[in-house]
Amino acid sequence: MVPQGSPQDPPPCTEADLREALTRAVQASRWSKFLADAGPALLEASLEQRDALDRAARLAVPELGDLCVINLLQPDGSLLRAAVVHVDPEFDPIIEQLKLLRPLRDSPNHQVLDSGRPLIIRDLAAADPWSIAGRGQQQVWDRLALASCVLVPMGARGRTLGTFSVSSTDPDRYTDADVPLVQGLALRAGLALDTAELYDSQRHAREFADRAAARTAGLLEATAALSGALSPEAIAEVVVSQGSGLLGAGSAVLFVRVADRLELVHATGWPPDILQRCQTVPLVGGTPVSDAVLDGAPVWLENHDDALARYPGWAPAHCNGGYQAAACLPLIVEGTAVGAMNFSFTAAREFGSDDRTFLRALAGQCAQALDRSRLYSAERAARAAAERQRDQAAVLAGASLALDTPTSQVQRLQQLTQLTVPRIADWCAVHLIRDGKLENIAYAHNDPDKIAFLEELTRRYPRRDRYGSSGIARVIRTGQPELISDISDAMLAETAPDETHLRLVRALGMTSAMIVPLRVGGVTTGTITLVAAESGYRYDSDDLAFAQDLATRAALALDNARLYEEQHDIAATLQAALLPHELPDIPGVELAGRYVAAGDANDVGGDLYDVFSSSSARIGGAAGPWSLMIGDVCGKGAAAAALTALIRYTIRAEASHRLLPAEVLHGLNQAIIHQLSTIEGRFCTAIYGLLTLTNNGVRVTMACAGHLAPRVLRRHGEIEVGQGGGTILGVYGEPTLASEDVHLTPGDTLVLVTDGVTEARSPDGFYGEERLDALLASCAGRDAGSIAAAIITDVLQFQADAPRDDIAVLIVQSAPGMNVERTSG
Amino acid sequence: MSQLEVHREFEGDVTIVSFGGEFDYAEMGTAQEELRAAEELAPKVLLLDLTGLAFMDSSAVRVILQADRRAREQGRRLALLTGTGPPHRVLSILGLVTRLDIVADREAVTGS
Repeated sequence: MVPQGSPQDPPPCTEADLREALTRAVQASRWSKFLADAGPALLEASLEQRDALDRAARLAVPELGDLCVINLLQPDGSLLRAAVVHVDPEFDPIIEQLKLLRPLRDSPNHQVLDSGRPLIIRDLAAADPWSIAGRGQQQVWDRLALASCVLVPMGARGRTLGTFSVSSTDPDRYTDADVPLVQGLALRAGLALDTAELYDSQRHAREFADRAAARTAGLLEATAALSGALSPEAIAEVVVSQGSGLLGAGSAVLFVRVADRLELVHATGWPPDILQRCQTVPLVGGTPVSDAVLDGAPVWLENHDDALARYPGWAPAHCNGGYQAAACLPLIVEGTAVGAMNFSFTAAREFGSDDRTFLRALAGQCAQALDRSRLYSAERAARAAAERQRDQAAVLAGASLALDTPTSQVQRLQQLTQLTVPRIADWCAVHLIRDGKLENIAYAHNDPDKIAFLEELTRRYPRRDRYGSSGIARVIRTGQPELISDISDAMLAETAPDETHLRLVRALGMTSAMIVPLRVGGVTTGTITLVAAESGYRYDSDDLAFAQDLATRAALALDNARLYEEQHDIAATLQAALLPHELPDIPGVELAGRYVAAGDANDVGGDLYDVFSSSSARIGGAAGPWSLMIGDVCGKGAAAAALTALIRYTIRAEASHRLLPAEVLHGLNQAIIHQLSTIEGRFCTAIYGLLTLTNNGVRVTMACAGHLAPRVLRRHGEIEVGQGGGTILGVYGEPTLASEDVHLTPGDTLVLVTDGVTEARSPDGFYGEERLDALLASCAGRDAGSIAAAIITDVLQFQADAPRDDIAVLIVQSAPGMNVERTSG
Repeated sequence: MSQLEVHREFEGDVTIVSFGGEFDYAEMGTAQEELRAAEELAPKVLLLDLTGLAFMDSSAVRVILQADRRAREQGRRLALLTGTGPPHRVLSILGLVTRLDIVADREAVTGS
């Protein structure tokens, strides 16, 4: 082994030196041509490093030896056989083996590296192949049968890149003169390698710059898109598409934290069945996403082995999905992880600092967007809740009014359904059980076309079986409300009787529904159905509570309406019982009685009148065994009705055995005080009279107890107002009773009214006695019924048809044209 | 002036309860409470001033009659100031003007 000088040694000056120099020059001229050819060939070679080296090695064989090996210095100081070329292609398999092996640390190559000087070995065959070639390479080495070699360091721009060697089976193949040539080739190989490296690094730099630019652009794009993404789903979509697009990830998944678990928001690159299984991930560790959230730090898994080592339970499924590497990042808002995103890659990959920086930035953007979304949705939810409450309150307020209106049940319910649309429902329907059948008695939708559509559907499919399979029938049966937050197509299909029905129902586009029972007295008598369709609203338990509230009010109102109607009937029946069915037929006398209850017909009123035959009663010499009375009881309701009944029957009883009207009223006063002593302060006013026929008309002898004075309308329109007077009955043991005696000639009329007439009010004041008298004056010549009707009409009009007190009118008219001369009997 | 207004004043031994507005069936409860509250103080004279009433029906009369009865039972004086408006008309038609202690003015009971 002879060390040789470098080609940069000073020129030789002895003869031998000159000869050698000449030989060298001749060779050099030959080799310089070779090298001149080699340079461009190397430079033009593929810019991939290995190709460049391979090309260099091929130039050396067979010109410089049977075998050329180029070793590259690795960062750890070892050498890698980057190019190995043998003159005989038959040795290729051996060469391939040789490439896989590395020269040992104490091999000649390392000596060359360490010394920086060329080395010629002429006794390779004798050398220990183990020390030359390394462990397990003896056989290979033997077959190559190499005898000598030249090794030179390879470098460029002052950097040591590796070693360059040529070997030959001829032990005398190499002299020192060969060294410069090998060095020249090595230099060119080194330059080519350096150029390739430079190019590579430049290309890498450009790629890096391009990638960085793309990622920056991607981040900007993501930021812009995220600023408009207001739901976690939309955010996830942006992040997942941007992230996987720029990273080349095969799958991207985004989870958000909900209490002690993670919920999947959006995913790409996984089959649905796998996704179905990981909709929620418990926050207990053991998966990259849960760890990322729990630790608040990214998890980088660069290959499957890495994944398997850290997540033995998770990695196999990840691998089965076709993924090797994964990057999982927590989404952190103000120090708290609110979720995580995971990108998976089909090939193993290193996550360089640029990758990590980009992903962290993306995760940061995503986390901020999620936080904005949370704030936005919280605000929107609060506003929606407030609006909903306002709408619900408005509907309830409106419902109370609608349900309180004295209209029919159907009208009330129709109003109710219209109130709910569109405030709290797109559809509203009310069903009631009538005659054992389910009847859709009211429904509402804002669009008349939709109403027509529903009517058609109801007409074609009158699903009136209360024992049927519809949700309404079920609620009727169970009395339990039903909330269907999400109406699925399967549900529609399940309840549809046939395909056509299913098609029609689908067209309604229902998204959510509530059915609440109308329960009266523990019995479900119907349902209210509220449906969301066009609005896309989903009802929740709060909405159901509202709907139940609404139904409870509706049911109560309907029950009240029923009771009201019943009570009204009872009141009317009772009132009728307190008034004469018909007035008696008295020769030469026309009678008319009218009674109008005050606006609220629920209470039995306290006004009454009566005309009856008091056969035992006689007065003077005139004929006429008839009694008449008009009265007004203080108050209304059952107690008033009891007093009214007492008055009516007491007067009938008293009239049968007392002759004087005042006696009859005294008897009535005693009866009231005696029998109704417990009813403190309750009293009545009354006029009682005896009617007798005279030979020129009718005589009425009256007693008055605190009642409005009687009027007489003379045939030609004159009004005579009686004295009135007397004290109310039922309060004092000895009431003052005023007497009144009138004679009616044919055409004259006695008018008795209660204070519901004179005390009637309008914004202009009281109706009053003067207005009554003026009206009566205008009624001259009219018959009894017409006069009674005129009074009632005028008083009602005065009060705008809403009387606040009962009105009773009794008219006694001496029949005109009956100017008969009667003989006293 | 639709609802009943009630005020209470004191002048020496006299408690004056004055009513204004409309006194009908709907206001019975209110009026009864006010009167009972005034009676709790056991005034020698309770004067009901009805002159401010634009309307009064038989329900109001019933309240007055009840108060009158309680006054008699308890040996107090219940006086009414009716004026000449609707309350007076109602009470006169019912024949109560001579039955109740109706005074011409407040001075008739306060003595000032």
